[in-house]
Amino acid sequence: MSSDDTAPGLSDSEVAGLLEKEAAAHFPAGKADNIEKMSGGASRETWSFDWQGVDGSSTGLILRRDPGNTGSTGEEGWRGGKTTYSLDRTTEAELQRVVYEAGGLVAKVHFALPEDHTLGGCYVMDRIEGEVLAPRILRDEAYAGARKTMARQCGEILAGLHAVDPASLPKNLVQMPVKPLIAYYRELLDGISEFYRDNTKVGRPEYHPAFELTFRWLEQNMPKNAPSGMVHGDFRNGNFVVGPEGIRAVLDWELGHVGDGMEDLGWLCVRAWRFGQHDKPVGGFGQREDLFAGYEDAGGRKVDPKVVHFWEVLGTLKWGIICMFQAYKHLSGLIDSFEHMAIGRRACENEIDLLKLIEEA
Amino acid sequence: MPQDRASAEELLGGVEAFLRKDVLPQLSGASIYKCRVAANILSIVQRELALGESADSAELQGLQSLLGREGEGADSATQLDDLNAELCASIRSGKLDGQRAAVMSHVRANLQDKLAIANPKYAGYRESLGE
Repeated sequence: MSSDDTAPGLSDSEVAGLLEKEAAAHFPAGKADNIEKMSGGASRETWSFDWQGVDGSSTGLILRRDPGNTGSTGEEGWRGGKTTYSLDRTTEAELQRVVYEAGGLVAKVHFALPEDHTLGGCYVMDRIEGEVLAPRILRDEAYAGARKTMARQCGEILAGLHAVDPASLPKNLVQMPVKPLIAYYRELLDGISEFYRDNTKVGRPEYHPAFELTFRWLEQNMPKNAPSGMVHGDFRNGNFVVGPEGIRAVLDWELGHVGDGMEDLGWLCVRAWRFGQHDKPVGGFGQREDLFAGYEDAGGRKVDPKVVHFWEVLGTLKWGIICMFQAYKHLSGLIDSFEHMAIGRRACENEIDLLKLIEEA
Repeated sequence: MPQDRASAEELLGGVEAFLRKDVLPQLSGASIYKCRVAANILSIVQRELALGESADSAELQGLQSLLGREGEGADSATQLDDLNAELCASIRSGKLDGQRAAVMSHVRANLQDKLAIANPKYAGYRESLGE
């Protein structure tokens, strides 16, 4: 165990106590109520609470924090964090603020605390009520109306995001146009394979000819003269708060970067996010034509379906390599989770899809 | 020397049935998901025991005819590594650009065999079989 002094494995009650104390410094007189840990991933925690003002007001809030006591477990764990592009909580909060100021569909951030704070890197934002679980959004009758409008709405939301003034973005937001992004996943694939060869009992690398064919195809079909701007980086079903009328907020900004906005449109169309609704390529709820029309009508640049297809190919490749990475996390000892190990066997699902995608084009 | 019955597949099948029929209904919360994953893992291993060997030999044959050599190594696993390393490196360098159709067809057949083990219900697999 490490003797991590930034956030030495706080217990849930310690987190709750510190949270109440910090919130008191940022909100009018009152107290924190209904403090509840909603999800406790190894690398990220989400807490829900209400701030009850002495004047009788009540504000629903969310705390998003890094536990900071488990070592690196996400993509930042890769080779000791050398090639990461995921954001720390302070920058993520700053990015959310910029988008909020620009009128984007995102929760308002109230305050953020730096990584060296006792509570660990974290921030507090408004709690937007609604459904987040993608399978429910795709199947429950309550969201039938939402499903009809969401593809178009996604286009409108993305047009707004991509138009955010680059000068207003956090200064340390990473530049990730297409080439470095491809290089990042190339390195991840090679590194995992070399790890298996050099550091496991099996002593063999892993071969993925379909990924190789895809890298080759990507090199040969690279979009030219892509404009550069803000990219959400993980814009998909599962990161939307949805009500019966449609999307209410976009979550999870930690993969935000500067690059080609078409990345967000392509990623939204990757098969993994359809959750079985294969006739609806946009997130399992809609058609590409509606996504593109929403984007263009809201002021986005003219959409070239071929460029979106390129990003769907790259997105499917990314997801396939992330499947490998999930197994690697367990096999390299970063985490202890047999479920993650099993995800490694899903890389080939993406490979068979990639063959079709690069043949279609 | 063969082991006595029950076979490895039969043993795994028994444990899988126990997880699905007896354990799963008694669970709640996150354990339900974990138990389903555990049972799925056991069914993957059963399929691998049944199909793995013939998938490996089909892959070796496919690689040998595609690359026109036997592959270095004392056993088929080492030959597979040797040939797969060449296949990946040659795709990467562009050396196989001119044989795209043959490469795609080999890779597809190999992936179909992998998916028959890993997840035969996967929609993209069924589609690739023309279903």
